[in-house]
Amino acid sequence: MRLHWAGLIRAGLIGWPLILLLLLALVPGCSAGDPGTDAPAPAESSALDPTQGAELGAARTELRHAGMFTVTYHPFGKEVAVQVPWRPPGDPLHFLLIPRGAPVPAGFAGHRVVEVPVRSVVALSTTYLAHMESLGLLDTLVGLANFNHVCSPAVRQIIDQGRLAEVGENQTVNVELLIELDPELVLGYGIGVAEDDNHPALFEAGLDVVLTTEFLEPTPLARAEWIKFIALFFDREAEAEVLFSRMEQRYLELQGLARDAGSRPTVLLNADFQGVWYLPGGRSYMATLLHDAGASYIWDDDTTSTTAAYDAESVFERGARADFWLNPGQARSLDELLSLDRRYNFFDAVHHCKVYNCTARLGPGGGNDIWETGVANPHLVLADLVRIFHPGLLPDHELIWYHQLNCPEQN
Amino acid sequence: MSKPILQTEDLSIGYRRPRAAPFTVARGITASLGAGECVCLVGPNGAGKSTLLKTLAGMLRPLGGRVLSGGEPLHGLRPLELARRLSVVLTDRVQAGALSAYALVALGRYPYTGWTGRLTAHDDEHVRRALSAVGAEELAPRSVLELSDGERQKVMIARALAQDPEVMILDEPTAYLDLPRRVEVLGLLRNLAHRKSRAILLSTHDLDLALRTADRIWVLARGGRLSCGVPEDMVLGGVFETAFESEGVLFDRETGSFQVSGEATATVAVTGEGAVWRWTVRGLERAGLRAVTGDEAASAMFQVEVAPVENSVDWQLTRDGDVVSGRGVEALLIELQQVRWAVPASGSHSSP
Amino acid sequence: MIGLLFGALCLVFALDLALGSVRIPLGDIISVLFGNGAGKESWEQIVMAYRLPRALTAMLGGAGLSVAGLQMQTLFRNPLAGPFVLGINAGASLGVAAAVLAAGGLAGAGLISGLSVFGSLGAVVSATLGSALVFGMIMLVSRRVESNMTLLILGLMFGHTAGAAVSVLLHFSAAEQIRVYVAWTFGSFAGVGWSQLQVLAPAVLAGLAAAFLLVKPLNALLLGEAYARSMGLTVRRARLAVLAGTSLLAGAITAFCGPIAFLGVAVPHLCRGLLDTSDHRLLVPAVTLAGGVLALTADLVAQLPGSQAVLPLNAVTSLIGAPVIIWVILQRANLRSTFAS
Repeated sequence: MRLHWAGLIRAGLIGWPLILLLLLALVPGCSAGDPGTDAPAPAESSALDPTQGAELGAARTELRHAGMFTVTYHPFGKEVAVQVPWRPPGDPLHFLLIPRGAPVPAGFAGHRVVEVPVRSVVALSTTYLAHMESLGLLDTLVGLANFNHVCSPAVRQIIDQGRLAEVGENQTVNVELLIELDPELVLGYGIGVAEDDNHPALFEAGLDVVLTTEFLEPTPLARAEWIKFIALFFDREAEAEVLFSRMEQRYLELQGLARDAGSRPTVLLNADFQGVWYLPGGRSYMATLLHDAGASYIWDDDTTSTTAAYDAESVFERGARADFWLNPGQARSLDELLSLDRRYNFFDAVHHCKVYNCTARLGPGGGNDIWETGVANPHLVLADLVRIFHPGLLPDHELIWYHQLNCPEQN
Repeated sequence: MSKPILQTEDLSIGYRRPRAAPFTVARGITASLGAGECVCLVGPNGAGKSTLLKTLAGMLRPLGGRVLSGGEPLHGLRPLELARRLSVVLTDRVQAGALSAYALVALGRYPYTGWTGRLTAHDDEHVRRALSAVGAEELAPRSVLELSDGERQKVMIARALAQDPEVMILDEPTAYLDLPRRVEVLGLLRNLAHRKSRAILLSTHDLDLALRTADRIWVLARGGRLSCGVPEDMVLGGVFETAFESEGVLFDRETGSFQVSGEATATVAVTGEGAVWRWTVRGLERAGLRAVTGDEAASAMFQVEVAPVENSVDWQLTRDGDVVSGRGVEALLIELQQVRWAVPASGSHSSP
Repeated sequence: MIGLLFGALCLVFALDLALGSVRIPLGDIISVLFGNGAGKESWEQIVMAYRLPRALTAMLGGAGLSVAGLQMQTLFRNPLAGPFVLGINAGASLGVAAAVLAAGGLAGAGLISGLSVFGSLGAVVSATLGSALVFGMIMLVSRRVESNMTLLILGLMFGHTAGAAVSVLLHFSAAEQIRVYVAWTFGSFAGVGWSQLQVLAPAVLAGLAAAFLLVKPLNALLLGEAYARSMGLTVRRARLAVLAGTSLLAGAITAFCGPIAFLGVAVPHLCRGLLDTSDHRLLVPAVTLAGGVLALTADLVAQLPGSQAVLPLNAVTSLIGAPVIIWVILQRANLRSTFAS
C-alpha cells in the first residue's frame, strides 16, 4: 500500500497538471471523445464485397476535416502519418501501406509496413467498429479489447458466435493471445501515458500495430472522417468517401438550419465531482457540437480544446442560468440527480426540466452506443441536439441517444 | 515488623503464553510487606525479580495463590482503587514528551482528579509535597526533557508519591544512576518509608547499598525461592552464597560484598589497619590475588605491610627475603605483577 | 496562544468566505450572511450554498483529522502516526476504487463511465463502507491484542492489504476509471453541501467531543501504557474509545472529502512546537483550532481565488503545510519536544 499510495500522492503533487490535462479525454458524460466506442449504423451500411477492393490508387483519399493524420500516395503504396500526442507537431508516426506481396521500397526500411488489404483485424477500441461495419468489413474482425463495451447488434452477434477473441485493454492486454491470433493489423491508440498505453509492448511483440488519434480531433466531422483512415487499410477509399460525404452533407445542412434558428439557448455540461467540474474547453469536440446545434456553451469564450477542472462556484455563476443542462452524470431522473447534490436545485435547467442525458442507448454490457454509432454518425448526434435546442426545426426527429430526465412534477 | 499491608499467600508467578502451558518463574512465595518498611529485593538476573514486582503491583496476574492488600485480594481491586493504594516506578526510561516536572508529578493525582484531570488545591498540595519530599522543588517548572537521569528519577518517584499510595513498588530505581545518586535515591526512599509510614519495595542490583539501607531484604534465588529477613541475618544465614552461587562471583561474608571468583594465583598476607589496609586488600583481590590473614598468613607467598601516608599508602613487599617498598596501590600491583610471573600458580581456591 | 489560534481561525474562515473564483464584493457577502440578499441572486446562492458549507467542511475536516492524528500519535507513542495509520483511508480507498469500477462496469465503455457517473455521493457511500470494514476489523483484533505496537503493525497490515486490493482493482480497470479514482484521491472540501454536512458535522463534532473527554487518559498515556494502567486507567477501554473516536473522524472525513494527506500528521507537531507542551488539555483545543486554520488556508489556496481553475487539495496541504512544519521544528532547539515519544 505504502508504495502505491506514495505513487498516487506523487501523482497528486507533481503529476496533477498532467492528470488534469489527461482528463480532457475523460470528459464525463457524452462530451469529448475517447477511444471509446462506436458501432455501425446499420442503415448506412453499404456492405460492399471486401474481396473486390477498389484498385489501389483508383480513389485517392482527400481529407477535409481531419487534422491528425495525412495520406501520401506513392507509386509503390500509401504513406500514412499519424500525429500522436507524445511527439511534437510535425513529427508524426509513419506507416507504409503496400500491396500484399510487394517488396518494401528502398528508403522505407525503417517504416512500419502493413500489407493491404488486410484480412484480419484486432480492434483495441470500439471506435473503429462503426466504420468497419459501415464499410462491410466486420468479417475481417478477429479480436476486441473488451466485449462489455460493445453495443452494435451486428458485432454482438459475431461475439455470441464465438468468432472473436477478447484480448484485454490498456495494461491488461494479453500480448500472448494477440501473438497467437497473429492479426494482420491491430488498431490501437496511445495517449502518451506509460501507465495506460500498451502500444510499446505490442510493438515490441512484433505485432502490426497502427495507432489512431481520432479522439484528439476537436470537431465531430473530423472525428468521423477517420472512416477514411480505416478504409485505407482495406483499399476502400471510394466507399469511405461516399459514406462520409453523405454524413458531412447532412451535418452541414443541420448546422445551417440551426444557425438560422434565431435563438441560441445556453448549455451547461457534465456535473459536480467533489466540488470540481471537469469541463471541455470552448473549442472542444463537445463545444463544437453544441455550437453547430445552434446553442451556446457557457464556456464558449474558452479557446482550448482540452478538459479542465473548474471550481463549483464559478460553474454555478456561469451555469445556473443556463437554459439546458446536458450529460449530468448517470442520473436517469431529476430526483436522482437532486439526491446527489441538493444544490442542483438552484439551476434553472433543473427547474424547467431541461436536463438531457445521452444514456438512452446502452449496450448489454453497459457500453454507451453514442461512443460507437454516435461518433461515426455525427449528423445523427447533431440532429438529436438540434431537436433538443430547437424542437421546431426537426419536429419529426426522434431522439436516438439523448433522453430527457423525467420531471417528477412539472413546475 | 509493623502491620502488613501487602501480603502474598503461596504465590506462583510467571507468564501465561498463548497455546502453551504457563511459564512459572517462582512458586510458593509467602511474604509480607509492612507499613514504614523499606524492602530491597535482590537476586541474580533471571530469577524473576521484575515478574514478582509486576505481580505484586497488580500488573501481572498470579499463576497461583494470591496477593492481599489490606486483607483484600489485590487482583480483584478496580484499577482506580488499586492506583490509590499502590504506585509504581518502572525501570524503563520514560519519554513523556514536553511536560514540566510539575505536570508529570501531577499525573500522579490521576486516581483522584475529575475527567479533565484538573488539580484542586488539595491535589496541588500533594504534588508540591511530593516534589519537596524528593528534594525536587526547584525542578518543578523545568521540562522533563532537560532533566538529568538522577533528576528525572527523583521526579518519577515524586509522581509515585503524589499518587498517595500505601505501597510503592520500584523496579531498579537506581539503574541509570551514578554511585552518589544511587546512595541519595535509596536514602530518600528509606526516609519516605520511615517518615510517611509507607511500604516501599524496590529491586536493585546494588547489594552493598541494599545491605546498608534496607530495613529488610528479600532474596529471590534462581529457581524461585524467596528468603526474607533483615540484612544482617541474611548475610549470616548464608542466603546470598546460595542465591548467587554459580554466578561466577563469590560472596564475602566478612565484607558483605562480592568478589570475582577468578583463579587466584598467589596469596598475600597484608598487615596494617584502617582504610589503607582495606583498600590495599581490595586492590589485590581485584588483581586476582588472594589476601589472607591469621594462620594462613604464615604460608603466604608475599607479605605486604601498609602504613598510611598523606592521601596515599606506603607499602613494603617481602618475598623470600627480598624487600621492595613504594607508595600507592597501583605501584604495588605493578610490582606484584612483575614478580608473580616467577611464582608457580598456587592452584585453585575454594570459597572463603 | 489558543486565543491567537482562534483569531487566526476566524480570519481564514472569513477569507474563505470572501474569496473564491467568483468575485463578490465584501459588502454583499456580509449582507448575505446577515440574511439580507446580495446584489445578485447567484451571489447569495454561491455564498450560502457553496462557500459557507465548504468553509465549514474545511474547518471541521482539518480539525477532525488533526485531532485524530494527535490521538494516534499519543496512543502509539509514534511521531509518524496520523489519522490513517490503522488503514482507515486504505479501507475508504478500497471502497471507492471498487465502486468506481462497479460504476464503470455498469455504465460501460469510455468516458461515460467518467466522474459524474459515479458522483460525489457514490464516493461517500463506498468510502464509508470501506473504512467501516477496516474499523470493524481493528475493533475486533484490538479486543484480543494486548500491545499497542502489535495493533499498530496489524493496522499497517490492513492498510497494505487494502492498498494491494486497490492496486489489483486498478490494474484491471480502464484508464478513465483509474482517473476517476485518482481524482477522488486529490481530496476536496468542496463536494460537501448542506445535506452532506448534516451527516458529516455531527460525526466530526462527536469525534472531537470524544477527544476532549479523553484528555485525561491521553495525558496518562504519555507515560506509556504500563504507567497509565498503574495510575488507574483501564487501558483497553481508553484505547477502544480513542480508536472509535479517531476512526469516526478519519472515516467520515475521508468519505466526504477524500483521503486528505499531511494535516493529521503535521498539525499535532506544529502545536507541540508552538505551545511547547504535550499536555492534551492544551493540545486538543490547540490542534482543533490549528487544524481548522491550516485546512481553511489550504482550501483557500486550492481555489486559486480570482481564477476559475482549482488545484488538488492534497497537493496544497502538503505544499503549504510542510514548510510551516519544517520552520517550526527548526525553530525549536530541542527536537524531542515536538515528538510524542
